[in-house]
Amino acid sequence: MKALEIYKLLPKTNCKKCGYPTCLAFAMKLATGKVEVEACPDLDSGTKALLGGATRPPVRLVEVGVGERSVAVGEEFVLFRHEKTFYHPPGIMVQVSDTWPEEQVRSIVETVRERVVHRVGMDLVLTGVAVRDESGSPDRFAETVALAGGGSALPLVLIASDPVSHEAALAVAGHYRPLVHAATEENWQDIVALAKRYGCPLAVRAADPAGLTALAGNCADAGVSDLMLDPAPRSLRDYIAAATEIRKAAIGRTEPALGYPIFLDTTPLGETDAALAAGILKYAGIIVVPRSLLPP
Amino acid sequence: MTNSSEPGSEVREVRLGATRAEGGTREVSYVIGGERDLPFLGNRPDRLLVALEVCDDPRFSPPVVRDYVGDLANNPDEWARAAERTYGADLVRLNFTSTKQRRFDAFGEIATTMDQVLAATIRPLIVEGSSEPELDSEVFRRCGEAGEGERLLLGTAEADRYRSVAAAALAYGHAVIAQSPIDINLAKQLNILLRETGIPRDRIVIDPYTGALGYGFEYSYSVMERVRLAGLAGDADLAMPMISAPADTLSVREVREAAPADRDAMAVAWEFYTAYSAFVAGASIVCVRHPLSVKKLREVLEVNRR
Repeated sequence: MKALEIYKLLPKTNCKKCGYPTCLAFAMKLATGKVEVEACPDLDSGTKALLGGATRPPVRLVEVGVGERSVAVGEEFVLFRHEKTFYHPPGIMVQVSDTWPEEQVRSIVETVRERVVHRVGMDLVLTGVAVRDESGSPDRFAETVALAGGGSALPLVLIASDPVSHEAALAVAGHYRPLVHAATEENWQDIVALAKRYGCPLAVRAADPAGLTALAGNCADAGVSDLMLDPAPRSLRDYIAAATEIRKAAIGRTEPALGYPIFLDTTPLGETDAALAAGILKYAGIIVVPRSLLPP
Repeated sequence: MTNSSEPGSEVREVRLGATRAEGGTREVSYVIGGERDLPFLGNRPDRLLVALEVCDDPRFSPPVVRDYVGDLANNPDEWARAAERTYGADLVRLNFTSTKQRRFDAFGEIATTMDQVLAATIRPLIVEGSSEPELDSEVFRRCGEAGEGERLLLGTAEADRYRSVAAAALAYGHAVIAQSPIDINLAKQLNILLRETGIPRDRIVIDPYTGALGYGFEYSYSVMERVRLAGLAGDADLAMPMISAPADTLSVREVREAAPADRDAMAVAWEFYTAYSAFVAGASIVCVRHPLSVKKLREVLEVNRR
């Protein structure tokens, strides 16, 4: 929709409640997908739905973490950077396990927090930490999440399949917007309820796009709109193919339930350098890497 | 906008190398290209090739490579043999860096080195001939002649100096690398010029010029994606396989200034990320300089076949 068409549907009161000086300025931001239609408090629900469907970015902006180290991904508009540009570089999360000794977790968290590469006017930093439940013990998982700062210092990804583990971890970190990973065919009802209660972004995981579409649809209907899609790739090729298919459906707006950032866990793929490169090049929003990627 | 990425026309196949049955002396020959989709989406990852550079004059090779290969650097044929047998390169890229020195006139040496390297290798060969326009005619003729029947991949043709290399390729039956400065329109224009000299489309490999990662690589990446999309959309003058030979990846500050103990690892990391990204953008052949980069790239390509 063009800015002027949108403008005709707005209240034209220039009340500034949306944060923009005039309704026309707001309409122009809407037209480029830079702002949510919800920012205008005076629209009826019918107009909101109409404008929302036409102006929402094809890939939703999802934020993980809070404060200055938080990362926002998604809100992309093209498949190839030569068509316009890519706006949000992916967040890179270093994995720790809840079976590791305390010292080891601490040292990795510290490296992630402190490591900076200065490069042509830019300070490049790692994004955060992904805590994986390998102990099977909810208490242990929650303790490790606390050890990783609980999300107050660095954005976290909580990786567990057991909703009980997530419940324990969210009691620690739930107020710092960790990414909850993952809702699956089996557990999504419990997990989505937790993500909703804490207002956290949620990754859904399924090995085929149809499964992802169904899961994402279910979770959105259940009230969690900050979703990410984990296509559970078996190989690098698999990842590139799945990510391309998902992003094509999103950009072409053929499947709104795929209009979310993509999540890539490189740790089961083996070839970490290649997987990281593939994730950066091909549409990943959040990338989990093993600690072996850290400089010694 | 995005329809051009749908499977459509095919990237033209180009043959490299000739076995005895095909009139050469190679033990294998390769076919590159033939894709009908974006990289790693089609079914041809087995056609991706990793080339290792061998210089006839090692003074123009990066210090990190000279230190790693040691004495091999003084014997291009031994270096080339190790590239195939020890380091696992799919093919050798023989770079006649000696032509970079001032007042070069050792034309006889070129044929000798060609013969030695051909005798030491069993796989197809990429030959980068002359580095200086005024030497082109003589150097390309000698490279082409020495490799007659071997179906070399001969480089490099550029918009203002393509006649000599084209003539050598035509006379002795080789394929040509067509290099343009990170510009899809100039790439197309050069391919048309080459075709007008008589080089058929199935003997052209596009080199869109690759900058090092962190030093302009993203422009090369995008041009490679655009060339591939244009080829798939049916532009026959851009539907050729691509070769990516990042020239300065081992000269970047991060590699030069790395601590001595980390220098090989940094060199390999820099080359690997650049070269793998070039594959993802659509390159059929990537050329690297550090032997350990070859190993790492080959491992990933093996995994990618699955």
